[in-house]
Amino acid sequence: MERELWGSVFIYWVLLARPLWLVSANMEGDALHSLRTNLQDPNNVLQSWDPTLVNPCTWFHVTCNNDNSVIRVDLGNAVLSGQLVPQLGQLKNLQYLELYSNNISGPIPNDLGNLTNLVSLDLYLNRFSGPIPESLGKLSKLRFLRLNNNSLTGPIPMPLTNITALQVLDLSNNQLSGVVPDNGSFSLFTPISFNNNLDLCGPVTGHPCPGSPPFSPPPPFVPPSPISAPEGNSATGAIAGGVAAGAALLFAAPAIVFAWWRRRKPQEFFFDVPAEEDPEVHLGQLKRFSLRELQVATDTFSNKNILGRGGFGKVYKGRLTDGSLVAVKRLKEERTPGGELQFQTEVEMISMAVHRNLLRLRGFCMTPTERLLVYPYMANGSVASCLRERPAHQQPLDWPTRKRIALGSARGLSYLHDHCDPKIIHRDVKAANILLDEEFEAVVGDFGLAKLMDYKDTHVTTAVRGTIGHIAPEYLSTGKSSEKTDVFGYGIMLLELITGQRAFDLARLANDDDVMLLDWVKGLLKEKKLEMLVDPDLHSNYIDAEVEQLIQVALLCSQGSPMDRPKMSEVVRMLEGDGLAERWDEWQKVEVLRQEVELAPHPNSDWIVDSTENLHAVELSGPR
Amino acid sequence: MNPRSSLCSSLFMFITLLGLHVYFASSQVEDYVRCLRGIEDTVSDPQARLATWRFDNTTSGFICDFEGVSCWGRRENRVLGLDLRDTKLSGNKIPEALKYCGKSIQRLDLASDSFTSKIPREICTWMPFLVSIDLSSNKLSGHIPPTIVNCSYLNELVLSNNQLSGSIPSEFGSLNRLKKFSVANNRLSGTIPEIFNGFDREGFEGNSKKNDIIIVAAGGWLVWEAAWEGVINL
Repeated sequence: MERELWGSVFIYWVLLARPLWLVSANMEGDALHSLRTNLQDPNNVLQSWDPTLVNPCTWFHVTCNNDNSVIRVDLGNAVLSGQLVPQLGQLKNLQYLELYSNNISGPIPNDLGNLTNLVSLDLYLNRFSGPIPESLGKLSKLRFLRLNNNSLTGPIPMPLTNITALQVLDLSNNQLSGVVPDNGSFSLFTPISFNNNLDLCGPVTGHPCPGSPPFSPPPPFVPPSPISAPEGNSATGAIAGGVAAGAALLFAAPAIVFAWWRRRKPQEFFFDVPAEEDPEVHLGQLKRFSLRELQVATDTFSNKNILGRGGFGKVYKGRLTDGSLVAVKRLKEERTPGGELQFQTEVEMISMAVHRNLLRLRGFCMTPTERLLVYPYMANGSVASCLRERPAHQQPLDWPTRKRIALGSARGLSYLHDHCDPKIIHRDVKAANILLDEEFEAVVGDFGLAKLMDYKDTHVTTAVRGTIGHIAPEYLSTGKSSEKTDVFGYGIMLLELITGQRAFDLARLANDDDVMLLDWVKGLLKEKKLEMLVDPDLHSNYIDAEVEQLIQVALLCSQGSPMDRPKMSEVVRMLEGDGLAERWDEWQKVEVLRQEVELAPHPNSDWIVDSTENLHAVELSGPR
Repeated sequence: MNPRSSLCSSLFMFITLLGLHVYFASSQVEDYVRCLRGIEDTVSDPQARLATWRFDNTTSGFICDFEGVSCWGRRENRVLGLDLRDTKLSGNKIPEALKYCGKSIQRLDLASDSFTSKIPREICTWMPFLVSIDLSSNKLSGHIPPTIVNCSYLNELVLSNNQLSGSIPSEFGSLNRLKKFSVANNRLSGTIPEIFNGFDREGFEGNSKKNDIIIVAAGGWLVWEAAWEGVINL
């Protein structure tokens, strides 16, 4: 009989395992739906509680766990009225039942005691009446029990003291009566939890309970007599003192040695050693060289090692002790700024400009009388030297190389303008400052140096740096430089690259040509003599269309007005084949218009006459 | 004349009632705001941990969303506990404004902060219903005030890792709900009241003997420093 029944149950379970799961989920949905039907919901908070769904986990204000079992019901402050239903006791995994601040009335169901996973039961600020169910004492995981501000009556159930997890209890503002426990978990609770009830008694309330003796005062407290064992204490103290002293010595010895060593160190630090023995200091990637090392590298700055003379000083070829070749720039002595820290700060700033087409600063040397900068050696010198000063055995730059130099130098300058923070303005863009590495890749040099030398000249606001022929007109007239100043210099450099001519050449005067390269180029273009423009060293090995494009870029860059010049980033795009045609057409229209104005003074006079006639016409229409 | 007099009388009564209602409704909220604002005003908050303490909000229960503030219930401006542990708050006084939370507060946790002061004698007059006090790992000095006995519902009193001196007050014998007590790592001396016989010994370690060791070690250091000074100068 019993065995047969068990078998039947087993078969039933096997066959209906899946539906059983659905039934279980529906059971919780049914329980909540029962609650909904028992409550009045004027704000339609429970509108989404649709019992036809497979489970209640998609209902608003209901939260489920991963097994689609209800763990939270959050209906606080929802203007609900009506009564609770016993079916709530079927929500086995419920942890939070939040129904506070509504108008729910009636009793608290005993079945809530079945919610053994409940953590928080918040029914405060409602209209509950009747007793607090004793079954709530079974909620062993309960931490928050707030039933305050209701109309509950009867005693506080003693089983509540067994809930060891209980942290917050609020039964205030009800109609409770009887004894307030102070044992178990209730030792954590104060009169705040029991205020404003009908007739509670016990020590916490300050009211004695009827039938029990009045509170007896605590027995008089007798402080314990001090333990006296002088000999033992004395012996122990002596031993402890000895051990402590020994430990102190062991601890102190290393510290003393360190202190002694540290005292000796400063003396060495202040010893006056020769400049050559300055210690090497690496600031990030930057190396600080000693003067001695650089003197050895350049054979004491021998004239035979001079690579060039720039606006800021001479440049020497050198070989370091590790065998690497370097270029050492010796800044002019008379302009050495006084501030070592300023120099070092500026040097660090320059060293952070790192790009394929920028000359990388390797290190520096700073002594009271010398300021030197150390760069990698550029095997092929500069564009200027390749165009005009190359040795006999060296071939002239061919056209593809010149095109690549134009693009590379544009990229380097664009990087200085757009990616360095703060922005670096070169102020001396020219062929001599565009260096060439082993692969004839363009490397922009001599950037950021103007600021290094500016400290002595800060009082001269109109100081102009640069080279004749490369100076933008607004820079010459106002002393104010900007990135467009560099664009102008770049434009002139392009013309040098195309023509092989110097930017400023008195020799052209002998041929009755313009001394300034820009004027000379414009004159030839007007006469449509392209072949005379191009460097004879190219031996006509170039593409006409490409030469024209490069000339167009050069002319756009060297316009008189800074605003009309493109940015270096735009120059890069034009050289890469984008946007040049439109810009050139626009420039030509403006240029043609300007020429017409210059060549036709008489039509200008006609225009004035037109203006007069127009004025007259207005007067005529007035009276009518 | 007569209708006007009647109208004035009604208006006056209405305004009076309205005023009383407003005053009554806001008085309780005002106290807790006063408590928290007073704390904010008197402590330094280097980590801006009290940035959530914004008092321009007027919705019910807004203070319950403040960092470290817990309330008796949601939508109730009644402070249950202040948990400002490990917030690096500092001050040379434990804020007196706490007294305005006194009607409801049961938990005060200022552990691992940087308060440098004495424990105020009035602390349990301000907050008589404290169940748990944790002031450990601060820089409190002075004596432990006997008046703490007035927190008669105290279950936990943790004062370890401070610089308290003097002795443990014998009055603590009447704190019959006390379950956790620690004054470890202070500078206390004297006898331990009998009530603490069943308490964990660790709660009392690191007092007098540690102080002695520190004194000896410091002395040793000074002696050695002087000796080496002489050696270096020679």
